[in-house]
Amino acid sequence: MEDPISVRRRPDALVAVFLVEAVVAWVLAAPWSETIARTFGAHPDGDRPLFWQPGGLLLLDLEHRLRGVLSALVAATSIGLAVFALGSVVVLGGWLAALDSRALPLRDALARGVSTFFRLLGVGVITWFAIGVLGALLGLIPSWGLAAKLGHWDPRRALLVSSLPLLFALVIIVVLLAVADLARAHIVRHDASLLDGLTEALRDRGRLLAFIAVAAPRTLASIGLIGWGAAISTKSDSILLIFLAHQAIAFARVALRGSVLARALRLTAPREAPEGA
Amino acid sequence: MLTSIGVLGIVFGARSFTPAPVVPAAPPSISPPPGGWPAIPAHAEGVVQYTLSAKLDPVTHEIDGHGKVTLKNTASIVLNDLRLHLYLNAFKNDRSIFRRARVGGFRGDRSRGAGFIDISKLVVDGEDLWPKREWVDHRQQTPQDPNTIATPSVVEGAPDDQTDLRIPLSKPVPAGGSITLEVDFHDKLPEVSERTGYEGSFHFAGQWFPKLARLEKDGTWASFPFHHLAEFYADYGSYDVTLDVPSSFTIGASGPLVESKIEGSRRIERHVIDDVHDFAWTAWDGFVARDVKLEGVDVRFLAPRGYDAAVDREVLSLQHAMRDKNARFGAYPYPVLTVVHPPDGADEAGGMEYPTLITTGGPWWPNHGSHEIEGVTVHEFGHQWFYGLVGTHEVEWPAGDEGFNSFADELTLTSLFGAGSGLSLGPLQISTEVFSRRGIDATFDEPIFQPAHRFATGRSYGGRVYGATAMVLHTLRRIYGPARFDTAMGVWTRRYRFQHPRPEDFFAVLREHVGPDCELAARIMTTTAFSYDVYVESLTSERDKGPIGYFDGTGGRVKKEAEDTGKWVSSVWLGRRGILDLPIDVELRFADGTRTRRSIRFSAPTTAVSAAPAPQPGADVTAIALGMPVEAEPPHGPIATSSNGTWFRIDADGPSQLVAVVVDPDFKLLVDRSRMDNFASLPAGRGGAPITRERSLSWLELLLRGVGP
Repeated sequence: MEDPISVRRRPDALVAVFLVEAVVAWVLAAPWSETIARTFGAHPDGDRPLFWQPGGLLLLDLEHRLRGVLSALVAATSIGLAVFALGSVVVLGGWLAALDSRALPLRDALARGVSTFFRLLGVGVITWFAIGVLGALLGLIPSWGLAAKLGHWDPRRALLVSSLPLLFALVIIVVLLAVADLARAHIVRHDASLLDGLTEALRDRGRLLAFIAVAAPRTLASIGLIGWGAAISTKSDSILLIFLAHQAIAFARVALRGSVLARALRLTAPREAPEGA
Repeated sequence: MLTSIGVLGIVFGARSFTPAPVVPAAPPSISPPPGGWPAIPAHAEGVVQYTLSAKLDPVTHEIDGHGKVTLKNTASIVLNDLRLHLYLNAFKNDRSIFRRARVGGFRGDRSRGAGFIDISKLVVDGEDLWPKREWVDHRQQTPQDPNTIATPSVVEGAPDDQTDLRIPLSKPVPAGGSITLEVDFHDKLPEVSERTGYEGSFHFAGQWFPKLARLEKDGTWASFPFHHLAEFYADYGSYDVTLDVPSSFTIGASGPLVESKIEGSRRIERHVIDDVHDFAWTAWDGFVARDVKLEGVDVRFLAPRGYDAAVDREVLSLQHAMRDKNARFGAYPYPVLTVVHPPDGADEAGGMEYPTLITTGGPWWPNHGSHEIEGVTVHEFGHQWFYGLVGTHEVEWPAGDEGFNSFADELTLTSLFGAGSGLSLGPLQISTEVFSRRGIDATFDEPIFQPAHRFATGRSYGGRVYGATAMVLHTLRRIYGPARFDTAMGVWTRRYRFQHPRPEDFFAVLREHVGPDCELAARIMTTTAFSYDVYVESLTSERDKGPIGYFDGTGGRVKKEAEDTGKWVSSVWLGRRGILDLPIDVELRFADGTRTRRSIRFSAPTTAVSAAPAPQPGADVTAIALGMPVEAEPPHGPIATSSNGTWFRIDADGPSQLVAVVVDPDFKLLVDRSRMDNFASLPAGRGGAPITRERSLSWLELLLRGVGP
């Protein structure tokens, strides 16, 4: 009998996902650091004066001078992120497959990710489409409408009231994201169709709530780690220390995500044993 | 556990980007000149006297006005005419100079609804002079005016622009004599645009009454059309204004309130003030008032409901600004000040100065990272000196108020917020000077001291008048020393209180209190189309291998082979673009970790060191032979300099390799167009970009996690 599904069961998958993200980040970051190095690297203190010179004189001068280049970098990075977002669907499938089976080699897990690519992509597209539509219909539009109607109110109260639809929309978004993860887990575990995955995810309301109860604190912790990273980067002027802290935080955030995915698999109906087993 | 990590992380992360609270600092200590500060006059010479009444109809947004205007002929000649400004007519149609000038975007939206001022009666000694009026046509007197002299008016018989008016007098006014006009007028306010007008029931009345042009001492009138980029210019005098608005409205106005009553459904207030050159007022039924005594001045803050956090910031920044500016520029002389924070939608009324009344602006929420509200409040309050008390000609010399005031703002805000005077977000500390520096790179290198309507575009005007002027003044202050420069600015604002000084007066103050060198630099930077850039052209540092080759002497020919002398031959070439010649600090860094600094001048290499010490062994004999200054500077050996005015060479031969040079390491040269070429190092690019690498990597990891598996 296999151990309960958890992120600790497949440290190789965890490290692999972290490395994939780190390497892609390094590749996408290279044009940025190279641009600054070529423009400002002649300074004996490197780019320290850009960021740590009080007043930001050099930073804003550089931004002014490189405005066109920076726009091109933003465009290139955005394309890189979009490509990664597509590729990450394969990684997600592979990760789920690896978590689902202790014995499955990473290469085979990745193959499972490839085979489920379009179904998982479909889950993502449907989820984000639903988030966009419901977020606008239930959150943004009512919020804007309220803000316009409450223009004569005390702005503090008006903000509180007009934010209520946004809070409601946030709850809906959390539910949609949870449904998506459960659907992905079902699709990968049972090689199910997209429709089956979504239907299964929506079938059991108690399971959905149980999953949200587990995923929410992990997601909150993941967001909180960003805050920790920001705090560390403002407290230290050792770039090595900041680098190590940020990488540790990046790793922890990947692990938290893995933990959420593992829980989604655990809440998904077990695979039927092969006949005769 | 996980929830705690998340919540604490969010809290700590947010906190690390929240600046520490600030408190108003002690006033700066500015040294008076030898002999003390110039005596400050208690009052202005009262040239004009306005007694006006105004009744507001908040539904039609119209004002019925009536009053008397008295002018004392302080000129040396007989007056045969008067010149009046009807500024509100700038909003009358789209062919006014204000609206038709092709200057691009600056200072708000000019296209909002129309407004105008009509005069129905203008009586002098029983004679109505209004029928005799002559409109002054200013077509194509500014570079941006598309209308040529040959362009006909839309309606025959009057120019499209009706903001400048000549009234011939039946009875001339002798020198020293006076004339009183009785005037009835009617305003239709535009939708709020460029500081005047209405938005809902909010009304702001600026440039709302017929206003006499300033009478210069030689008898000429300083009159002009209302131009989009220009502001105003007028004589000092007294204003006695009675305002009549609905009783539910709160009034804010120039000058102290001396009488207030409710009559039926109307509120009537009388405001009286001397020693000013304009009067503005506002009325709205949505204002919440807060009265605070700051540095002995009764300050009234008028803001919409819910703007308490914004008003808190205005109170704090104003208290600090009062202390700072009183010490620098002489005490604020009026007993009152009104600070108006216009409501949402009426932003165009914000960010403007009138005597004892300023308008500010910004969001209601307590955003402590951006100092937008403090910046606007301090700027508009600073205008009480730079336009109000020192009555420079805002049309002919806009830098004299906007530029000088921007410079003063930055001093005030820096003393309050430190390096993050513009924006303070954790480690990101952006000073207001950074934003002003954009003026150095404005679209055109136009002279800074020139009339507002001469600037090619609004962007050029904004960049040069506000930003570049501030950068010039900061540069002079840093180069010639804050103590001397602050004294000069203190003399400027005290000597010329209630006066109308010109740029030449300012140059004279600089010459007197900072020196002729500073004056010359100021002239070049403000009156010419100057552009300035100092840069490192190259840096070399190689092993000194001693003499190599064949050398003939009395003992015959000697062949010298390369040998390791243990020394380095190092040179730095600096370049300069432009004619400006300021003292420049140069920092040399050596491989042994030591640094040395030199102050150099491109045009005067031999004056950089007046008494050069005897050359040390190994000194640059070529430099010495040419009379170049040479300094002994252990442990690096001698430093020699040479220049032809365009380039400057520094030779620093010695036992340690010269590995880097940084020009202007203390950021004194804020007029230096590019700072990206102010340094060099060996090997080239050795500094790299480690922080950018780390920052971009961690940010991208963050983004990838957002879109990733």
